[in-house]
Amino acid sequence: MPLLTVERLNVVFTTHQGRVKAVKNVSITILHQETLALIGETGCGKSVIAQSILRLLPGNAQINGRILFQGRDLLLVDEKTMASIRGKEIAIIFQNPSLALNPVYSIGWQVGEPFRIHQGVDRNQSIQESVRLLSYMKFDKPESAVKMYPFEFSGGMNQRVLIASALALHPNLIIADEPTQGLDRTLIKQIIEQLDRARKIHSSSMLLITHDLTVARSISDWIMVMYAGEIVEQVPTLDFFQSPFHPYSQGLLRSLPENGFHPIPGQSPSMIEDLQGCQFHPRCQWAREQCHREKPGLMSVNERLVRCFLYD
Amino acid sequence: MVFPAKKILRYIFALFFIITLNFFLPRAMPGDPVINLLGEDFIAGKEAVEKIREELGLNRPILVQYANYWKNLFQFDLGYSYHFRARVSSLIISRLKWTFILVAPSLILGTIIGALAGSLAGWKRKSKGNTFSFFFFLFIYCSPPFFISLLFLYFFGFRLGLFPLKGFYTTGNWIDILKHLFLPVLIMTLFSASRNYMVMRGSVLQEKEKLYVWYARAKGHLEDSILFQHVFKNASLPVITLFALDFGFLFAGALFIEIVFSLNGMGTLIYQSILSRDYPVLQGTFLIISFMVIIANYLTDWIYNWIDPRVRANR
Amino acid sequence: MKDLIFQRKKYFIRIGGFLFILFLLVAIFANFIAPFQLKDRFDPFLPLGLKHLLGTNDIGNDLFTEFIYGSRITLLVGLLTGVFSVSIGVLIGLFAGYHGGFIDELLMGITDVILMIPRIPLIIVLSAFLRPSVGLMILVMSILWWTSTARVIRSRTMQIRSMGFVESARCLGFSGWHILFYEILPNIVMIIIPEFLITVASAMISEASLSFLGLGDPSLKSWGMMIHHAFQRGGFLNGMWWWYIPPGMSITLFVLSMVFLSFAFEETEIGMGEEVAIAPFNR
Repeated sequence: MPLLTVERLNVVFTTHQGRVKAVKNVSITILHQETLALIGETGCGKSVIAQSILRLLPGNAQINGRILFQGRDLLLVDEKTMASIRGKEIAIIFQNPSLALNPVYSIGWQVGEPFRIHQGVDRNQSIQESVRLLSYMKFDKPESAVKMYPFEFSGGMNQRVLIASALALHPNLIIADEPTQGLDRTLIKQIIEQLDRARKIHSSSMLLITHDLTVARSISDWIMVMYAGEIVEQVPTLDFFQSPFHPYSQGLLRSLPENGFHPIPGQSPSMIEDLQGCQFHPRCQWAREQCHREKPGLMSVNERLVRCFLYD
Repeated sequence: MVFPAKKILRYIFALFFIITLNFFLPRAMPGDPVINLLGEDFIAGKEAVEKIREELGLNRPILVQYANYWKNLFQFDLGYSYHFRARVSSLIISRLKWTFILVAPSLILGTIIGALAGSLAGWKRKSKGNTFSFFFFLFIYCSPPFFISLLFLYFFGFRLGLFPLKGFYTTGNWIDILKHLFLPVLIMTLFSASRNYMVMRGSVLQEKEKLYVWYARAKGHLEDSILFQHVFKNASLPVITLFALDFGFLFAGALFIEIVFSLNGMGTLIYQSILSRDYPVLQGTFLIISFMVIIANYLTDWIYNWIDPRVRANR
Repeated sequence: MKDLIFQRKKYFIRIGGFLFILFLLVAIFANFIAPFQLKDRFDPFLPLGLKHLLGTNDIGNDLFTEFIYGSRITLLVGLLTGVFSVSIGVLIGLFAGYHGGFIDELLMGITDVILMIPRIPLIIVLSAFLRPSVGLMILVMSILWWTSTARVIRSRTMQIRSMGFVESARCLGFSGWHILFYEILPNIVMIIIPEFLITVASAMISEASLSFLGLGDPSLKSWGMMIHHAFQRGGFLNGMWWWYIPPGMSITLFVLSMVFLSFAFEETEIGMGEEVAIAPFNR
């Protein structure tokens, strides 16, 4: 049985500008000890999926679909059960670690939180656990680090703090939402390595959400490409980088610095209005008449799934 | 706890400024400085007035007078009141303790109630309780404290006869004193609570949107524990700052409440001094109140630094 | 569903606007609304009645007339203080925020010192020495109330100053004054208005409180003075609630309307606008 199965997830936000369809009929399967990278540009709905899994969407969101985690539909459980799953069985790390930490509490207090919340441990003990976790994340002097405050650490250090606290209780699923955003190259490498190492040791699965293809390449087993709220390609990582099928995926690879930095022409479509036909067709060099009229479904080609009429 | 030199300088300067202002007032205001220094109740013949003028040193150069003024201050000499026939400093001290009895419990209770109710109101979605508390405290917030006192005294004192309308305390009977103090303390508490409520509510509303709150949820916290374990500390920072700024207003409010309820504190002292134009008392109370405001500011600054680690580190 | 969420805030603003205009109209057209003249005398201590809607005071003046005319002084003091003190605050805030450095330190230092002076006690002392009058009250309050406006304007100016278009204006050679008034000022208008509203509210409460002590202008009866007389001349002890409750409630309602109107200027982050926060007027 897969660890996580997201079935036909639809998320719509009600805003003053209208109904924003952020996630359209997305289905994802993650097996045990597997890393799935969800890539796409900013605003395509990737983070929304992460938030949906943890049921942390804002009040103006409507969710439809099923999210089966270890057999249970997370969209149906009560809030208390959900809270016991968060941080313990499913943990999340994301960008902007300095803002994710509470500025007026010490690092040790915050890293030790999962222990206090889920295991009823007392404050002193939780701080001891924090020391252990921080040394595991290769902090120099963990005993003094626990007494410090987030503003005294750099973004990279705070990210490691977040990772430490996320992994504290050996979650089965780690969701990393743009964990390397805003960090420089060397830091990115370090953090991704630590993340991957931790994941392997705890035998967790990971849903890595990123727009950084290099990061996705280095640690994921599968790649799912998202465009305008839809999945457009799902493929094993190695195959993706060897030969991307979907025109958007190809465009993404071409836009990498090492491949010449060719941007994809055009803009992503509005999430409010429905575009007739394939969502990518205005920017696609192989667009045919059919692409203007009909919406392609996900077509299976060997192990892959591609949303494109080219592979019909 | 070490304060930056700049801040301490401002406190010292404020103190200095107020004391100097107090010195110049009676000498700069229209009218005979002798009367300005002694109050309108001082009546004497021309010769006596000249003699007093000599005694008060009004004929000496300004700087000498200023120096003497400071000397007197250090000796706690704030002048003499002809209206009350007592030294101003002893008058103030004897009244101050009654004001303290009104203000201290009210401020403490008011801060707690206001902060708690305000944070709940800001945190939870609309509920009957929160809507009620919002309008209730809004009403108190918008009313002048003397008016709320009149209103309450009318309903609970006059109409319902639950509390006495005037007169106090020389009975020494505990129950009597409590009866007289109940309404004023209640009103003062509500008054200070209303201000804390508004700020706290606004502050929690803002903090609610921050990322660390979202992340606390992602770690598995239940809603209620997030408010008190994470948000409260952050949200109370503006409340503390505002308290320092607000203290003068709160204290003045207490004085008005005292006047309406004829309590034996600084408020009625000031009121009677206004009626009799007892300038030394008015000036003395102004000075003492200013001291208290400055001290309150200093203490709140201290507390703020203690709570917010970001400030502590910038030394 | 979308509209329901915004409606709540709109109600507050509309009620505030309605009350504000109502009070303003009453003040302006007092002569037409008041049934009698202020100096007219009738039987004293009359209760509510058809002829005298709010009864009469201790010397027989019609209280309803006093109440209507009282709106003029109360509103005048509040609004003028608001205008003057906000003007001072804006000037100081703009200067401090725009120039920064020594000027900023100096101005903020002065602001801090003035902030620490207890205002009502100071006005009490000054009013005791001088003859109490509306002009004095407006003058002194304007000199003392500008501080928080200055602070707020200053931080906003500093924010704006660091934005691109100010730099480009400078590069293009526009003078400091020009930049201040044509580039920065339009951006702070949205902050000035709520500051104004809140200053007016605070000034009204203070004026009423001071008048209640008897330090108001005896010839121009504000609502606060009405309540002072009620308290002093037996209205309160005799249970004549119609003497002091209408003026008192009016003050509360007017302040309330200012607070409601200030909701219109709040920046809500989520954009759903259903919650409203209040900046307190701690003045």
